[in-house]
Amino acid sequence: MKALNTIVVLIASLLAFSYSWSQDSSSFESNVPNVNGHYFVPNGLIVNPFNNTTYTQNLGIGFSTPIEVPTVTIGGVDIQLRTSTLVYANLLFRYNQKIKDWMSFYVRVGGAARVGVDPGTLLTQGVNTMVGTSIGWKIQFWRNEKHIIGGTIGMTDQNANFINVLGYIQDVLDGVENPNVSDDISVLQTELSVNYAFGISPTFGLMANAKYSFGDSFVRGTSASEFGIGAAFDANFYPQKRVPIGLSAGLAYASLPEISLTSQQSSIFYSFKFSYTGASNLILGIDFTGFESDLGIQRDATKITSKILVTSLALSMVYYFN
Amino acid sequence: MGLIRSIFIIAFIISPFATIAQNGIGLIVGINGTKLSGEKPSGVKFGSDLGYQFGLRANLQLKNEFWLTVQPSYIEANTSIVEKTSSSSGYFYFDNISYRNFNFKNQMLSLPVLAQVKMNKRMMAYGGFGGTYVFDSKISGEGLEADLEDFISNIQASMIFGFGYSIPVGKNQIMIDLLYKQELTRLTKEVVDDKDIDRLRLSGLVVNLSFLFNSGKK
Repeated sequence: MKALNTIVVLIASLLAFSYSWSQDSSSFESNVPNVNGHYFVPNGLIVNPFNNTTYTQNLGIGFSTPIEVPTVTIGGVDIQLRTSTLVYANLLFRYNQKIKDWMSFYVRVGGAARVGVDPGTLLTQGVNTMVGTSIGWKIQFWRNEKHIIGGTIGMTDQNANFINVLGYIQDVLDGVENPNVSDDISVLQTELSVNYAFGISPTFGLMANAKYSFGDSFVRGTSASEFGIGAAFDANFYPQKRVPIGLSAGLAYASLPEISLTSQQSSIFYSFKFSYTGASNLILGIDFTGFESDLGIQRDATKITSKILVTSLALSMVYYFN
Repeated sequence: MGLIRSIFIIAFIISPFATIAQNGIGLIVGINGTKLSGEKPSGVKFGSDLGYQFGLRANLQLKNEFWLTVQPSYIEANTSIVEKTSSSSGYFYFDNISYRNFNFKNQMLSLPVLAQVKMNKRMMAYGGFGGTYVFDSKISGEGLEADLEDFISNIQASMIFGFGYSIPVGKNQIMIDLLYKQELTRLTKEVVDDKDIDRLRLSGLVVNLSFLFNSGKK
């Protein structure tokens, strides 16, 4: 209910703010990429096909639904833990450098964390963190008045750290020599994607993409490939109505989502974004993202098989240089 | 024979481009700063070290501002492996902790095939893949010297990105390139230790200097 109130207040504030802008009738010129007169509202789930020079920043935090933690056995003693929650956080920086109208180069640096914040999740899920870098090319294959199709090819190098509290305690009790409380895993993946944008009208647009990546998995000694597909429908009310609000709703599927950190199950992501679109070279936004996932495991004995729902809130910014 | 026939077929296919384009062939020399990346045993740090490379370079213009560049090269890549030890007999001694420093050297033949796109009058952007044959691999230092061929996977595949600067010299040109190269395949043949050294790869920066003799118009 609190969240709903927050959203209502936010929408009301944006509408009130937009009223003052609605008096401005000058023509709109912007660095934001447009097709068929529609200036797209970016969505974090979808890679766009545009090659503008941009800087993107995203900071998010999320919470899982309550988790029923199973009985944990330590040193032969069964311990019943209470219902718990996981906290997710992520930070992303991305720079895209235009080389030609049809080609650009990108660098992405980011980190994510999944933290058990009470004894139940701390023991059974530990603290998982990941930092990674991606580099690659974006290429535009084809465009006409209303449609644009592009692709990316690149690679991602990630280093994940898994702190396994329960495993460490069990190893100490079992007399394991040199028990490790944490484990570092290095993951390198090559990624390909096909990206599409459709300027339906000056107000409405659609973006979609499909991606495939292959390489190491987060489970040592194994390889993995991931397939993902998604689409986002957006509305930008500024170019025609002079209301500096952009909305975007997206849905995506990932066969092996990295954000879940060690999860081996596919997930469906959804997002809803409110953006300020009145500036000629900047889009600021608040992203509400959710996904459903099985929990990753740290030890088979403590596997939690029920799905959890993670909802997160992120502040995002895209600056368009040209 | 098959290889020669393939070369003739490729030459036939690209000949219409070659007659109107600015193609080039020349020499390339460079230095590389290579580092091991990936998983490492606890107490071990990977550092970068300088190596060198030289070879040939061929530029084939496929479209107005787009070339394919092939750079068959010999590469010597050096990396350092620093191990923290509890004894004080290490290579150097700092803050009551001793370190042992090893040099890990790989000699390779490399065949990168890159797309080269002209950004403006002088600047180029590169992206592509390379195949590498590792024919010698040694670790040395601290009184140790060992061949590692038995543990190293001879065939490597890499992804390469970078930028270049072109200096015209008459019809010919000098190119200075800065490239980032990341091996995609694992360096070790199999898991050396099932916990510690599973995903080990070479990566690093390369600075190349090429002199190209160009055909076609300036």
